[in-house]
Amino acid sequence: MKAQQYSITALLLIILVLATLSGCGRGVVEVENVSYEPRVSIEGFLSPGKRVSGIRLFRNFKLDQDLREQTPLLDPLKTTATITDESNGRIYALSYHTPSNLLDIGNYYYEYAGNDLNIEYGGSYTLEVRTEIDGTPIRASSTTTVPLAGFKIAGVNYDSLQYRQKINGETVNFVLDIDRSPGTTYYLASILSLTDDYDSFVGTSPFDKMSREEFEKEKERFTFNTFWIQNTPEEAGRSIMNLFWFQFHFYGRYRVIVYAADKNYREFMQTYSRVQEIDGNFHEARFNIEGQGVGVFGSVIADTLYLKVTE
Amino acid sequence: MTKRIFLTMMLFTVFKPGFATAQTISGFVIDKSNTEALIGANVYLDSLYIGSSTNNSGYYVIADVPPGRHTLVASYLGYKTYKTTVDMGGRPLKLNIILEPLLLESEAIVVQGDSIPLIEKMYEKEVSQVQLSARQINAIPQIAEADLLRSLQTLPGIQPLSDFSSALYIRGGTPDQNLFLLDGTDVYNPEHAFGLFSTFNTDAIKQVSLSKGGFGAEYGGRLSSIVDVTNLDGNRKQFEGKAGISLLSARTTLQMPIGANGSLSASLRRTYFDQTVGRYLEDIPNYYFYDGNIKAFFELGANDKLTLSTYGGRDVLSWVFGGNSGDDGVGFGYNWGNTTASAKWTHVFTPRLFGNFWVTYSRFSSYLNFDGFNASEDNLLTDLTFKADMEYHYNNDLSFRFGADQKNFDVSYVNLAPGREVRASTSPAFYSVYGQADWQLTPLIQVEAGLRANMLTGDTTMADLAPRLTVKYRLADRTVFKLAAGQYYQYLHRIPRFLIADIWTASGRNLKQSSSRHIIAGFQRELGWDIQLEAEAFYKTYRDIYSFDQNFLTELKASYYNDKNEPVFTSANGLLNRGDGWSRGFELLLRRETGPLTGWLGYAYSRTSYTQDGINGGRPFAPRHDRTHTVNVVANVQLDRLWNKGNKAYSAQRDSSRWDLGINAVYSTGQAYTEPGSAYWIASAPDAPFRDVAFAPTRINQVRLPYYARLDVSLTWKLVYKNWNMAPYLQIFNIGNRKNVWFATYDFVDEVPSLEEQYMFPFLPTLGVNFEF
Repeated sequence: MKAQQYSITALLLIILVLATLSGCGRGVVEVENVSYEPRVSIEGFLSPGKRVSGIRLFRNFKLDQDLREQTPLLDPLKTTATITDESNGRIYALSYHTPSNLLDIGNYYYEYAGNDLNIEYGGSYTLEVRTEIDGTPIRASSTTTVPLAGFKIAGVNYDSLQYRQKINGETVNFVLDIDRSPGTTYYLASILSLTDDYDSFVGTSPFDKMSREEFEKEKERFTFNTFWIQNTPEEAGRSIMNLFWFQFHFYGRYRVIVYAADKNYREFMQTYSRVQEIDGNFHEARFNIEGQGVGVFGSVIADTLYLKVTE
Repeated sequence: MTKRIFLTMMLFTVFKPGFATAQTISGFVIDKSNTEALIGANVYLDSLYIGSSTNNSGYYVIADVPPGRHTLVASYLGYKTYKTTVDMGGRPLKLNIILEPLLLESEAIVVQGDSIPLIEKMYEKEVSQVQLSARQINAIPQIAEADLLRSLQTLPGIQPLSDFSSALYIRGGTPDQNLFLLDGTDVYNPEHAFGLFSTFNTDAIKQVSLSKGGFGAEYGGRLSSIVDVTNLDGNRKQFEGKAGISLLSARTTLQMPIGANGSLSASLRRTYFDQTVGRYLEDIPNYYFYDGNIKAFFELGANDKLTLSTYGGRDVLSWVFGGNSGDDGVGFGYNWGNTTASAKWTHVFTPRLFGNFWVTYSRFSSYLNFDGFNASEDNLLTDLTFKADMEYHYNNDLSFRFGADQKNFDVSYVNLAPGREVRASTSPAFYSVYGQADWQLTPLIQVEAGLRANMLTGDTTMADLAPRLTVKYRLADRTVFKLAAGQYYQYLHRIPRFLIADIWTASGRNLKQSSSRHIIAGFQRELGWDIQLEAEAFYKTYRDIYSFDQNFLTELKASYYNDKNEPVFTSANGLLNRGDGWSRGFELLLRRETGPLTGWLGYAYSRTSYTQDGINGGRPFAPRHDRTHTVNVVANVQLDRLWNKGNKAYSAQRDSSRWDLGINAVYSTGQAYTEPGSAYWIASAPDAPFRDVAFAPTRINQVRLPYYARLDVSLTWKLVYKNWNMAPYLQIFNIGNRKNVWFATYDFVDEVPSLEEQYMFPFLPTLGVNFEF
């Protein structure tokens, strides 16, 4: 009997020791880069009636890459970019624009220098990129269809509002009337503060209580943000777009650009920044790029207005 | 000795004589202390080696008993074996058996020559079935307090997704594929505290039966598993109560007689964090949950019983942050919960024909609103069910189970926010009938063959036939082999959401019914008199299963537009990705249920692969919950009894041990996880003044997180007084304070790459005390 007691006790002790040993410490996630593949990152938009410009082509990078040690720029000598007008099949070669400030990475872009490429409402255009990254030949292409004419900001209920203003007990928002572009069901507003300093920062916002130092670190996420409406009616007509009080973080003037966006830009915006799920895992974004590319090649019609938020 | 008994038993069964005047013995087996019906008790005639076990209502039938005097034996784990002589005079005998609980579950009493061998109980059990009592559930150390679903997560083949969730991923299936029954009523979203705990109060539970697959024709509507919870009927003899307080909640369960032939059981539980710590901390949500059960049992006559049962529970959350009210801060309120009610009539038509008839109602609702955003959400599911289950015992070798149910669903979801509305509702009806024959083909082979016919009528009609087959074969006197196969259909689909309650929708024109096939081979062996070894291998296929489309925003299509030209969505179209898949695995369970050391050692090998439209480029991938190897050790050690084993003086003095040690250890392979393929610079708009680093995952769940390991322990000191006892306890969750990774976040801070692991629960001690009176 005693022998059985001892054997049970020994078994328990072994279990406890093993479980304790394995149940200590910390799990460490290593960057494995197992699915890394060189890709070209495309950031380009066409607008009807405007020159083809500002098409940025960068390389992607590994998750553990120190970005100070690797330029995102592609080797222009190994990179070709063209735009094809799908209505007539003509191909236009893009040229590389180098900024005067060589450190201004965002101002390296591709453009079409000639005058014979007109971006038309409803036209379809294909961007094709060939380059080489890490010694690997890369090819990527994407086709965008420009929204039809008809979009504009038709008006706004107030040019100026107090921050989180209430009228008759109800919070009042800026409400934009927009005339829709036929066939376009996605409209995105970019809201840029023109007075994005700490002294203008809304200290009473429930989201934004922070010191000047914290503010400076986080400033970008307050200065500029976007908001969209989707699944609007397909046909021409009028829709409203609410700009809510919590999208404004500064007292002062704002520039609001509303874009009527094509499918590529819509799906990019709806997915690219949401690839990490709320429980931490990742999923794919929708880029609508064939080949080895990420990012967006889209087309937009833009309209601008200015608003003011007061204390 | 056992071998000889079995050979004799088989010979008797094979060559048993036919008796022209043979009759039946039938009745209920009940607990003497509280008259609760005992499920799975064995009743047999000692000399004839024929017998039966009680069903879920505690009813047994022994057919074809020849005239004469026979010794009838009834046994049940933890109860004194009952023996009586019956004199069969050519007429049916109705015999209700009262079993007396053992005050001390000593080996000397449990091990008796006339007790049913363990292998017989294993043989009776269905494939992939596990039964747990409230006592076993309560003995497993958990977070804050005992929890049914977290206890089930310690069994092989059942995985949690994280420490934060009590949801069950069974043999590769997802939580929506599990059917939860509470006193016969379907329960949807059985979760408290954002999924941290389940809705089942373990003090109110009488028994839990879990089927991990291969279940019979009496169950349907889900692909993976059945969790059948039976609550206490109530003590028909005397008032009895339990109460407990922990750092999380206070709870009580009371039982009492109603007149001479009835009983009542009631439970109530409420968390009080909001009333204690919450009063002194700022900027934390005001949160609590409560739930309660009431169950009444009435014996209406010798052949009729009526059970009325209801459950209600609610989680209530309100939070204002960034200010004192919704005016200067931002506030939201969220509450959700279940309500169930059931009426069950049990009727013995003839000694051989037994029936249960139910009317059940289940309601899940949640309501969410945001102050200052003009946004709200109303999520409702109701299920009104009528069902009947019948058993007919043709003879001791052949019995039939058959029945039907009819379900009426109402599912509605309304979500209002500036810019759009969601107004989705559906009211399908579901019909099913089933029949199953349980045939002891030879003394060595038993066949259970069944067929279930389903029909769903909603915006379209769909009908299916689901055959089920189980074969049990006695390989040797202590070894059983089982094989099960079946086809399963599911017509309800879940739109899972993190933290807030899932939304359900039904199959219809745009959403096919899901289906699954199970093939299970099981091997069971009795090791010694009280140790069970079970090994099972399974293979499951899935067809038309649905997962939430994380890119659903791109897929939405408006049904119509409101007067502001804002889209109104009325269906789940675009929210779910269709897919197929398979799971395969092997499980090993070594279990001991008696003696000073009880518990189990489990090992599971499992692989699951899904292929889903639009995900991973159409290539197969392992879902997040896939873990290849898992080892579980669950032990409950009655320390006093262990160290006083064989000491008769000790046994005489004490009716229960004083110190209990609980151990719950788990080790498992890391979960499948998606590492973002690469990062890239991108601006979010043509006029954006800066660029962000974004991530571009390309292959889904292609890496594994670090292994998961945890050790939980509990120590309970049981103090026994004359009419009551108390048991203060200490539970420590994750005693090694291992930092198990939940997920990782990737970033580039000042252009330098960084990776930060997000961990699950650390070392969490809990104190509490339980009372019984």
